[in-house]
Amino acid sequence: MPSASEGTPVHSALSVEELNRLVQEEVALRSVAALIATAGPSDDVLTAICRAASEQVEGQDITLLRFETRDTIVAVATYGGPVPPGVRVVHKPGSLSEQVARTGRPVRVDDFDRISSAEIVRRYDIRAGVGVPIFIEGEVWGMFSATSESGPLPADTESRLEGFAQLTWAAIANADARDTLRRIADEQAGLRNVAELVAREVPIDEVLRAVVDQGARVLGAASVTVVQHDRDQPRLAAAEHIAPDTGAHRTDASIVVHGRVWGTLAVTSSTAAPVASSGIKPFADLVAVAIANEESREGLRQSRARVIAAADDARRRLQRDVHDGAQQRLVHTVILLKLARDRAAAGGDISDLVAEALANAEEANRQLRDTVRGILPAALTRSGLAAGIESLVADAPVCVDLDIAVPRLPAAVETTAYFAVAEAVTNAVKHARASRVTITATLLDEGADLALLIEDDGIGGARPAGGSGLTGLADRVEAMHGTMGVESPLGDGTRVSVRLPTGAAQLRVTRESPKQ
Amino acid sequence: MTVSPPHPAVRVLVADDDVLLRSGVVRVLRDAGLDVVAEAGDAPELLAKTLAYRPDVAVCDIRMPPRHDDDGLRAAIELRERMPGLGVVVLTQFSDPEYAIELIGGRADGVGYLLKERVGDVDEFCAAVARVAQGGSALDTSVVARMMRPRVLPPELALLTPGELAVLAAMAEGHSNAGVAQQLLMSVAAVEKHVTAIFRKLDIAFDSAGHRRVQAVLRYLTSQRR
Repeated sequence: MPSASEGTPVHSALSVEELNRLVQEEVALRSVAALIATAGPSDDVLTAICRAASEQVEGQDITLLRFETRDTIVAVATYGGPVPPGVRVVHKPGSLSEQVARTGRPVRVDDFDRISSAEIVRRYDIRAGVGVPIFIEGEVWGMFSATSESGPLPADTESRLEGFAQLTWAAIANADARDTLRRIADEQAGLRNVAELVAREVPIDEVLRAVVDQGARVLGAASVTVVQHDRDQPRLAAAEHIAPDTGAHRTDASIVVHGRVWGTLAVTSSTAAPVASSGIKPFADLVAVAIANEESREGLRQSRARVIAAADDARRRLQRDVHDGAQQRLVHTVILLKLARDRAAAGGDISDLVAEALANAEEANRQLRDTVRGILPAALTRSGLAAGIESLVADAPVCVDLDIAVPRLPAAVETTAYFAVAEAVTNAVKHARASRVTITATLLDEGADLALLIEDDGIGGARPAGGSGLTGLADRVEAMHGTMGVESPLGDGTRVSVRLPTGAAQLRVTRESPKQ
Repeated sequence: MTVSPPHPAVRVLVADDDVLLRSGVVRVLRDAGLDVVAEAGDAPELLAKTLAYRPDVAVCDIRMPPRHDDDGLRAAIELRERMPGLGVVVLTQFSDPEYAIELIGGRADGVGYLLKERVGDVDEFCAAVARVAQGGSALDTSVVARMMRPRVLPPELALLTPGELAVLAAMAEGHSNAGVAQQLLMSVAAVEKHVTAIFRKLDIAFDSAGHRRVQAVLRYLTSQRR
């Protein structure tokens, strides 16, 4: 065991010498305080503190060390000492620093050769040392160590340093606080940079790059990575490596978008202490906001693209219907009439040709009528939703119950409602193999909303996101500021519910507002 | 009407998925004395039977099964590549010049593009089919008319006078000088003068194959693509 002398009790009676020392202490502390007050780098402050401490013990080498974790200690500043700042040591049980940390009292080692001490002591050729704890808010924050490369340190080293340590804690705490403040300010600046990018709606990759870049800078991290989870394979979305990644101290924050975990922001510390999760969370939240924004933008873009594609599809279908149907029959009619004309000119019998031409012309007319009705039924435009739906289901090969008690509505609302019913009925007949369909239309909220419910008794399993007609319908309803829901459990029918604003609420507001 | 078959020995294949129309076309061609050797109802059948029967000319629709898109046109283009001597007449309801230009590709000989209602103009239709079978060309008047209305006349054609343009358009339809003269109500000599001017202005050299007319038409058609 090391021989560790107890620190000498502090001033019992004041000698002139002691008084002088106290004055010196005061002067030293004032200069330290002044240094702290001016906004110099904290390293300078700590070095100045070491220098002031050194002056207390007649110029001995002084190193200020900080207990980082239970096992590690890091040199933060020195005056004359052999251990440069930044050196981090795992202190073994029984070592000088370990004893200070454990006991919270001054510890003296007069000859390190006599103890199995840390490798660092030998590396820096330290023969003897005194360690004095520095307390901040009742915790052992670190220690002053006075070291010697020759003989043991003077007997009053402990008492002199102890007094100084008690007085310096406030200065150190202030410097610490200033560091914390600066770090917070740095973090805020980093967050602001990222937030600006998010607000400017730059591409998500740019946001991620900024997050890892700023995060690594302000969090003092060895590495920052963003990993996306919500796909088959986790994907590294962005990464910044500043220092070799020990992987020992890693802090994660989930990136939660619309209630699901999109991915993780992971930060590994560049020191032995992990980065506080409170520092990481705001970055993760910003990433989440950026992704949510991008998803809604992308959703809107896709919906618009689908609306356009649906319109193109409808045109193509119409072209095909007319080309393969009525036009073909009319062409045939023309050919037959030309043949008849030539035959009549030659005095032949043309009754068969004319009959055939007439049949073709009639068929063309019938097909055109169907096509036109398919575009928009006259019943809907002339008589309203109920009549339109009645004409729609008149030829349906299923049993349809109608309960449609709504007045005339704006044309766009009636048309959208009509297509909602048409799509749901088509789905019921073509895919759900239903035998019965119930269609209900009512006005809600004093006519502000039109509510539609189309239920069938088919096989269910309809997927509105499956790129089917229901997707197109959802886009259409959304474009009218309405909402749509599809319940289609396997084997238990399909319920399509649609709610469309009729515009009546807006009208009421416009009418009533002059009174207010 | 014509009693003696004017188009003996022309062997024809007819492809259309509309059976009624196809049988009408077949009847019209047979009545005119052409030898309809096979019929097809879709694009694969058109390809297979044309390669098997090796007719002088294949008459086919553009939109046909199996895709009901431009399957017939694709098959026609493939046949023109695989059987250089084959005449192809596309019979369609589309008057879009794009289809015609695509069909013609780099070779305006042995090719026809006619609207379906022309079938009723029996003599002209059958003459066009026979002409294409012998390496001539036949473009529908309405298609040519649409080609003739470019918003900006391409530079090559800007050199031509309106009279020369009209003659060139008639040539594109496949008319001989006599036919052009009849259509445009001018003398054959006047037509010949215009044709010579067209060849000179379009810088078409005299070649031994005597395909200057075809080249002029081709130049005209390809100028529409830009």
